[in-house]
Amino acid sequence: MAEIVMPRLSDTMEEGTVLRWCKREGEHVAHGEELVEIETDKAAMVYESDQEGVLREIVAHEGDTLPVGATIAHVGETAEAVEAPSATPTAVAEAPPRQADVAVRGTVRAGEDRVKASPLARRIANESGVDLHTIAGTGPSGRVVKADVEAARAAAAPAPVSAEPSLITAAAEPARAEAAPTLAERVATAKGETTVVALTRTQQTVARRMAESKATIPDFALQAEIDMERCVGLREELKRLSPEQAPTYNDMIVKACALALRQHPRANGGYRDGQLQLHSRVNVGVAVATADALVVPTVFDADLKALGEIARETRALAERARAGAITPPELSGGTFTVSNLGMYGVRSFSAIVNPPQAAILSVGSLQPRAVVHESEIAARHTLAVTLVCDHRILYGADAARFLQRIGELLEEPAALTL
Amino acid sequence: MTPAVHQDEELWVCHLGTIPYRDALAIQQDLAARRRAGDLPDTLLLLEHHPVYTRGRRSLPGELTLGEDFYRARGIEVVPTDRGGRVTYHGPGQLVGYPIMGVTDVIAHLRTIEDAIVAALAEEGVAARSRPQDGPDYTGVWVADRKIASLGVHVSRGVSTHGFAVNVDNDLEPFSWVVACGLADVEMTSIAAELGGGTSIECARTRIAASFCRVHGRRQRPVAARELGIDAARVAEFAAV
Repeated sequence: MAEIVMPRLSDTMEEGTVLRWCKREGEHVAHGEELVEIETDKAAMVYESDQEGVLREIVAHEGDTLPVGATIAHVGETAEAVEAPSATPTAVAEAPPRQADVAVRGTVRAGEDRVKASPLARRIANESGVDLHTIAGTGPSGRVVKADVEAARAAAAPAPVSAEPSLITAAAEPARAEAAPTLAERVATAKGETTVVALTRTQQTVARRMAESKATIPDFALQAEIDMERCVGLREELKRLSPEQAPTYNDMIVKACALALRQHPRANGGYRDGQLQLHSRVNVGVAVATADALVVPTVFDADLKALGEIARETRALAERARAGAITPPELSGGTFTVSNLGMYGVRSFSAIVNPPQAAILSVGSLQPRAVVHESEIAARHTLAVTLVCDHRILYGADAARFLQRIGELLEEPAALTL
Repeated sequence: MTPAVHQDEELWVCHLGTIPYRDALAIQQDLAARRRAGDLPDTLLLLEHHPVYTRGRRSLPGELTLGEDFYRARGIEVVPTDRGGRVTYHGPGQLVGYPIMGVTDVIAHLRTIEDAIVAALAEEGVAARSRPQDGPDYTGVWVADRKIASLGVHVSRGVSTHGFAVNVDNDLEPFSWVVACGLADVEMTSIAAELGGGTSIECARTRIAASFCRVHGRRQRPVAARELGIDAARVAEFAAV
């Protein structure tokens, strides 16, 4: 088990306050991953982990102020065997830090006198047969660090492997012996070789916004099945007229949404800081999957554009998005979003609301399905759509009426061609 | 956006005018990411905000002494942030600075910001000081026992966001409606209050920018928002995807 201590974030830093743990007890932490936010003076710093393993125990809780070098958490090896069952882990959570330290150590190493050392120092000492007890530590709080072990190795004559076991159980020891003496970026774990890849800026933004959306928006979902037989017919005709440029079903859906949004202003609105924002323009965002990200280019004034124009625009925007040539103005200003996974055979799904918008329409696959049509079983092209809404501004009945209107427009698509 | 070729001795300074607080948050996140990637040199953003209270992570509920309805009725929103420090107020007439810089020693970063502001205020004719000896509660810039500038930063993966706010000629009343900076009895002041008027945000901006670059030993390079890819009108939606 390794200790995480209050880091020295500045030459003049004497103590720090734990603001927020980025990881929970029991979660895996990778080397270099954000572990905890610490405040010192008027600066909040995100501290990245210098250990790899499982966050076994949080010693310093949010709001605690500790001096530099004091233990704030314990990180265990992923290959380490589970401690002997005892009440100690839960007792430790309540007990003050000092007692917790002793209690944990007592559980894992009964009767053993454990030396404070960095995991790197411990590993090198293990492999080179150096007894940690014989080394004077020069790290924080007298911890033995790599330099100390190297110095001891250089000074000592070749000695037999120390009989003093380290903190690793027998099961893990063979794996440890094979490990390289330096801490590598790619670490072999039970999941094979794990390569840590940093998120791109766009991916970071998506991650942040999706998490915020899910965490803050009281969302609800409405589902509808839309009879698309007439749209299929319309598309056949348009393909005959213009084989290359015929509007897709998604274009028809975008136009239908736009017309419905014009008639249902709350669905075209947004929630911001306790206020409903109503927008005079209807700008429909169309989700596009690019190689490594998700972007939502906007079709501005979609209710005023002809179906053919929408088709040309969405095609151009999607191409530019995939080529990485999309610009911020094209990604902004949306009042509603359409997300379509139908081309992958997904029957229906619930997308995540794109804040501060009121709602998002998730579109499933268009397929002939068995339905009851005019009192008989028939094969009709149907589409399952799911409208996910922000209940702070769009309530059930309003949302249902809006969704109903979209269905009406797609079931009688002549209006889409105007 | 093509990465610009920049020299290490430059510090880019960009004036953003008056922008909403949340937009500034989005801009800072974007610039910080680019700074981390090496696509941007150290940059200082100078701007003003519409009336807003912002709270650090350690802010306590008791700091908003008059209740959220009171502030909302006056058009002041309350925004939680991830910067250090406690509650503070921003408003028109107050110069806000966000240095997006590579930072290794976070406390030295705070002290340097204080030094820059103290030097700039001296040029304005205001005898200000920092008070590192009085502990972290007194971080900021003071004129005698009155506070004229507040600080609060956040550092993630070696790059800073948030920064400082200097009262130039802004309304100081809203400070009295909260426990500003976690100090119950602090009296806030401004350049205008100290000199009896006759100052401008433009003047303060110029002096602070120059002073900031000087204390960091850099040459100031003014850049337009457009050069940083910031279209202020679209910023609110830029954070949307």
